[in-house]
Amino acid sequence: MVDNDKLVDGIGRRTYLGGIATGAAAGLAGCASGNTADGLEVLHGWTGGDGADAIETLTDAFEEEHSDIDGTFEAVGGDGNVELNTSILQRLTNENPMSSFANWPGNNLERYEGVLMDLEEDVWEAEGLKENMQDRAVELCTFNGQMPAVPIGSHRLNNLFYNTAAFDEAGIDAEDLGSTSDLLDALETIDQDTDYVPFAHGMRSAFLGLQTWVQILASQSGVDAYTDFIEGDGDRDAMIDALETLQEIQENYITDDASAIGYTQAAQNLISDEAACIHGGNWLYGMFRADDDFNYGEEWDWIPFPGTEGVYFYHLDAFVTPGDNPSPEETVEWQKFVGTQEAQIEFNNLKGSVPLRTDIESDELADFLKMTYEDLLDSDEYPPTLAHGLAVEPEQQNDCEGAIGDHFMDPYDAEAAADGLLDAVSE
Amino acid sequence: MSQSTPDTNIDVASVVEDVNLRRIGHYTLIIFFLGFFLLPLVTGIMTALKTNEAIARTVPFMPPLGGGFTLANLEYAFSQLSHAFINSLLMAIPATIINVLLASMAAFGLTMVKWRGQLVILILFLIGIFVPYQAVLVPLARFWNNTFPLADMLSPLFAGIPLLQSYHADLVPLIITHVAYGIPICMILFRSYYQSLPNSLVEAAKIDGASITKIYRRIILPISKPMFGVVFIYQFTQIYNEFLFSFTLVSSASSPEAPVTLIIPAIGTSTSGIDFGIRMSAAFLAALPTIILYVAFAEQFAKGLETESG
Amino acid sequence: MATHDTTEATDSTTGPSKEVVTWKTKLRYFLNSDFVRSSPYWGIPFVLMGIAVYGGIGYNLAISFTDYAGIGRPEFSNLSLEMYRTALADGSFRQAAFQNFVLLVGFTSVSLALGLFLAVLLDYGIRYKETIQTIYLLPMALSFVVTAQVWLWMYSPGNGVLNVFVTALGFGSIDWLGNPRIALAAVIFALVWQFSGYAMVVFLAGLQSLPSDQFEAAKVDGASTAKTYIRIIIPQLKQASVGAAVVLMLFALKAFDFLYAITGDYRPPNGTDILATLMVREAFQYGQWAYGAAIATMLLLLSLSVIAPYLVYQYRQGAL
Repeated sequence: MVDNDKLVDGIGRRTYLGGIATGAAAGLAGCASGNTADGLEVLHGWTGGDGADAIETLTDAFEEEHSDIDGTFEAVGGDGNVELNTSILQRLTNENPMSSFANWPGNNLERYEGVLMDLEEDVWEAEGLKENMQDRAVELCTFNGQMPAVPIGSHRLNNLFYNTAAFDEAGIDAEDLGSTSDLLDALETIDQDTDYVPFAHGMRSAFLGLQTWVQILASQSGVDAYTDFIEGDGDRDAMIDALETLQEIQENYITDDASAIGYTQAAQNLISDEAACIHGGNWLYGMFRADDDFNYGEEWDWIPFPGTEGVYFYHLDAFVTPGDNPSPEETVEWQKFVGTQEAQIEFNNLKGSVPLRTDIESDELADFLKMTYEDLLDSDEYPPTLAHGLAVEPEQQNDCEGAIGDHFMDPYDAEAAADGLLDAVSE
Repeated sequence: MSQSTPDTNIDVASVVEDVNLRRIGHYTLIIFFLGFFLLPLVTGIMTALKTNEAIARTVPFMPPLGGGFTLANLEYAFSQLSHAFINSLLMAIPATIINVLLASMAAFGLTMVKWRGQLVILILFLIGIFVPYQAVLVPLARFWNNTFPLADMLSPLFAGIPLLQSYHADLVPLIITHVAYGIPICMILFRSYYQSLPNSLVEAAKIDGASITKIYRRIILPISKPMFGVVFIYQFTQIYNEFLFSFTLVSSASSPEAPVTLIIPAIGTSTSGIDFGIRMSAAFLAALPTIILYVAFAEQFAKGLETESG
Repeated sequence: MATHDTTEATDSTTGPSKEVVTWKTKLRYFLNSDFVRSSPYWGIPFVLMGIAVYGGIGYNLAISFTDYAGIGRPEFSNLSLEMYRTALADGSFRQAAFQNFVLLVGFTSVSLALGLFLAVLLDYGIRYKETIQTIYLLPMALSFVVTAQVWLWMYSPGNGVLNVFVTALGFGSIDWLGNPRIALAAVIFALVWQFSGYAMVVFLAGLQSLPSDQFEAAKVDGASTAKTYIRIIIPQLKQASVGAAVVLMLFALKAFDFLYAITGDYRPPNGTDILATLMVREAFQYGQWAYGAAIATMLLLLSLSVIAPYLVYQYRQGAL
């Protein structure tokens, strides 16, 4: 990860050395994007690390193939797409749309209702993507009878990454962890027998707690308990049970600075050999692979979040197209490219996610991803993620995060949090 | 109001002791508060000058020693902020000048000349000081983005002006916004000064038949020079330090036209958390112009604040 | 707008034959009145400010009655108080309003008390008074954004200064901004650091405007210095206190910058959400324009409820 930091710094310093010339170029780019309709303009949120590498590879490949298209690719903001989404919202409200932007499809598209462009005919049918993409992705990219988005990659959310040295030292066999109570026992053992922090966890944003709670709920009470919940019919007792498990973890097994850190910093605790395990989407894999001294099968390993075997908690990244598009033809070319085998393999290998096309040779993917890709194609259940836009509408998701943020970040009030969550999805 | 002279009819020795003890206590308190106000600033500056290694291993407010010293953080922060400094100054200087001029005119019109109904206008100005900006943010964003996209209109023009870039046009709505919302407080600052001037000054000129414009140009402008200094420093600090308007009107911290304050909250964050060496360097650099102004014109600054509370 | 001059003109005219002259005289008087002749001076700034402030407030109020959200334009055909009802029924709104109140009262009273204490400390005849005053006031020159960074570092759970002290005293390190039970107090403390110097300056000016013979009189009575201040001097600082309190409250209402800059996110640390942050989050992050506008209107009312009594007080004192 140190390398990633350096990369970001390096770009900054180069910009500086470029001085006035770079400034002028940036100014012109800003002008072109703001006021004129020439060329392709794509906004995304991958400002650093593995995401930045992945998008750079993707856009390079596109520009190589379409040297006639003048493309601008802008990274906006960081954590959780907050700045990106604000920027998109502002541009669309101002009737100043870009060609395309990275976002979650599914219910998340509710934000942009009425101002999206249908690509069903020009991209999906023209490229035969409907046949070659996973049905679930096709479904999630369909919104109000139109298909304004093309998926680029899927992350699996129900992962437990662990530090092999820590588990060895505590004498824990990860394969034996079949439930959250097994997990709690293991965390206790690690706490007692080793110097490792048992569970790396970031609490700076409420979505991190929300996401972990979802895994616990599905693990303890089954995926149905979770799907009932997002449909507005949650079992309050099961929810409270899951919250209490989360509370036990957060009160006993995480770092002191958890409330000040996000998931990237929590993952650093694992890489730096301070923490024993972490729950998170497999974007963490994207972080791990950037460190040459931290390798899959050696320093770290993986199991599905205890009690969720056979389940693939489904996350999806896509490129979305606004209507009244400034560059309809170029945009169609771009979206066609996003759907190609080449694009999906190149991007996902660096990003740590997996392609949505069903016709990809899994050998084209890195070891860990190969396994995830096989799970993507062959799991028993695929519940949509709550904290990443797929399961509920943006406002409901916001309220869910609020419920955790207000009632479950120490001091803990499981009852109030459960009521808040139920309220959030009932509207 | 010093009361160091002791009463003569008390035993001298006890008074000396008493005074000394009191003095010691008094100065101890003063020094304690010097520490209270300076410690966070010293900590920030020391951290800005340290390597990451030194930040992690030494007490935050101790100076960097030997290998722990580095200018790399400051250099990096400056490289990230250099554009933004230009933006901030391009915004704050014209906005402050227009602001101060208009405010002085308004104060003159409402103070040196008397007419009925003045109080209503005055109260409307006064309330303007106390309106939380949130109450106008949504309209403000809609106005500059949809109703009257001045920045878009001006950007081709700005591209043609030497030394400016087309994106600097985005600063124009910000300047106008700052002027409009800055007028009330500056107007009150001027007004309190004009009220303290003797009435005879204007009356005599009036009897001589001088027009209102003449009175303003010949009499008021020259004698309000010191107040112009006070208000200018006060308002420049306000606009340079302001965050919310820029946050609302500039599309993101990575936009080329972003002023300094917009960039600070995001600078030096990486996957491994906040790099406080960079963050403190950036904060220190951002604060430097106003700190210099403040130290150089401490008296005027304090005067502005005294008047502000009416 | 009738002026004194025009009224006189009306009184002095009688009879229909003079009608035309009267009208002209009236106009001439009016055009020559101080109101008209001074209007270019106050008029231009007033119009600019009026559109920005009152036009803005009006438009905001109008939007708050709609259901404007997301992308598109506000629809003014169907107005209701729905957004206000939603807000009042919403737990996070009530929590933000409560925390706003705590911030307002806590910050203002602590700053006033500390400012008064510092003013007395410096008023008491010491050396290097100007320099010390300058240093006490130094944080005022910083922006909220910079102060937030400085205190983020002071409060850092890892190696922040406060935890260096706390652990040196043998206690466990405290997560000042991360613990919702103390985060608001930590924010108030940082803001007091920034603004108590302001209260000090106002009180010092007040103290120095008092005639010094009161001290002499008190001394003749044999009253101690502390008693002199508490019984005689401080009660006379009422005017200064009111002024300082109002301005401090306004700083508190503008604490948005500080809270945003701490996390660099729309959501401030848990337990420190106030109306200003909630409003910006709802409107600009989630596109809930009408809801944000309604919260903003209530924030405005809160602000006016502070300022109106102050203006009345000033008016009664003849200070307007």
